[in-house]
Amino acid sequence: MLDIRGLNKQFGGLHVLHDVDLSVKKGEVVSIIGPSGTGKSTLLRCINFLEVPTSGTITIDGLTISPEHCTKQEIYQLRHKSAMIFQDHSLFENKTVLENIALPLWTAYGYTKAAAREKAESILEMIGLADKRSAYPYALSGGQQQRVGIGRAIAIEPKVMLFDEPTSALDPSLVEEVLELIRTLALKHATMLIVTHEMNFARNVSDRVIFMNHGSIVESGPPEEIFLHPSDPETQAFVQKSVHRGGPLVL
Amino acid sequence: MNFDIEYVVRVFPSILKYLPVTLEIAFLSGTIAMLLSICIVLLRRVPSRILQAVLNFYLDFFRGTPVVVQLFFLYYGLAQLFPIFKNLSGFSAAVIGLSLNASSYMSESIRGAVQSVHRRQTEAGLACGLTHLQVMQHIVFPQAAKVAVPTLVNDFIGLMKSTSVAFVLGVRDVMAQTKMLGGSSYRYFECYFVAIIIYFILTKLIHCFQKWLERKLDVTTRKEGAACSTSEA
Repeated sequence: MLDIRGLNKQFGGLHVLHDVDLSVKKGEVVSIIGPSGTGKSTLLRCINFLEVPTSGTITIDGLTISPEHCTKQEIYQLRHKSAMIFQDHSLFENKTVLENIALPLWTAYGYTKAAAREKAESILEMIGLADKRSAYPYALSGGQQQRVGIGRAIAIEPKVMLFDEPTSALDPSLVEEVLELIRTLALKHATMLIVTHEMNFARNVSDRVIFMNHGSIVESGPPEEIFLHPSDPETQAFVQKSVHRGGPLVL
Repeated sequence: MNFDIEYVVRVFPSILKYLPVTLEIAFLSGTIAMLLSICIVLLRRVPSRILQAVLNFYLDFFRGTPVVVQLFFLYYGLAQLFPIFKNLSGFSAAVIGLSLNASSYMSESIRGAVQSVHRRQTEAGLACGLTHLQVMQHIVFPQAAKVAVPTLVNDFIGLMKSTSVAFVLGVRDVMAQTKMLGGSSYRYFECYFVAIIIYFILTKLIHCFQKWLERKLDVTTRKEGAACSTSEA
């Protein structure tokens, strides 16, 4: 479904991503863990070209794009195949909850306004926020905002969902409702790539966990392997530290 | 020295009669300037050095020289150089000149407001598959509007007041009429007193409109539900 080959990203002299290769199968849930500043978010943002990679190719659902020669049109096409959930939810502040979900549908996905609203209503039912349909984002709690952000992403039926630290900006008491919703999606076999610092969550929800450090993928494998028997010393150190900080891993 | 209140009352209607001309110039120029400003703001994002240099020159020119000089330059100067401009009426020249002048100020007001909208709003829009133009239209401009209103209205008030220089091109507006009446009756104080009252009330009215608009654009004061139907319509 998603295939990344030889991806490099440089910001001026700073080499953020080194030759990243990554494939995600249809229905697979992949978590990316690693220290801050190792390019996890940049990797996600290269997938939908919010950051234009320096070199390499991105393939989603049969569409391959490389930064050296791609048209604006192709970038739009690529973006239509993915949806992103941001750390700070990034809901459209001037739109109501319902409009936040409906807007992309009728502007970019060919829905009529009526059909878009109808679909947005059904998404709101699903994420349990139907009663907030006419509220503006500022009036919601952080957890609710993020659920709307996820709803907005689900609505466009993306081939792959990109979660950029979806719970990092949340009050600890609000994290669970968001993780719960992501778990529901995982059970429905949505293809997801999740950058997260929630180790327990990564372990429970993922089919595969990737450990990134200094802009490269250090180790990749099933959650048990990464968390219990990591082969790479860097992974070992990171997992141990994270577990120590976040309390024991729940099995 | 005596203040002839009766004369003021008598002369008031004959000056007020020309208020529509002043309003016409102001609103026509205001509208054109607004459209031009939006174009300028959009063009500002085009990565072309030549285009940016042209735009910079445009903005510098209209903000760096007095509006009266610009109007004379347009009406008398260009007509000498290009015969097409000979048929330009004073009214049209005033509207064109004031539009161009105001657009240089308004575009900067809009640009500042657009920059105040967080970059992440744009990114979220793009990630949702919207084109750059759609992001501007549905997300950035509506949010920038709230920030831009106070400065844009100030720009418009400035424009409204500078319509009073249109008389130098022979346009008969409030100012021209005041000047004429004053000249014929030698009651300058009374005549200009009337003109000042008219311009002052006009500015106050625009200011009230600004307050209303600011309230309307602020989502945090909107009623839930009501806003949903209006913004989708």
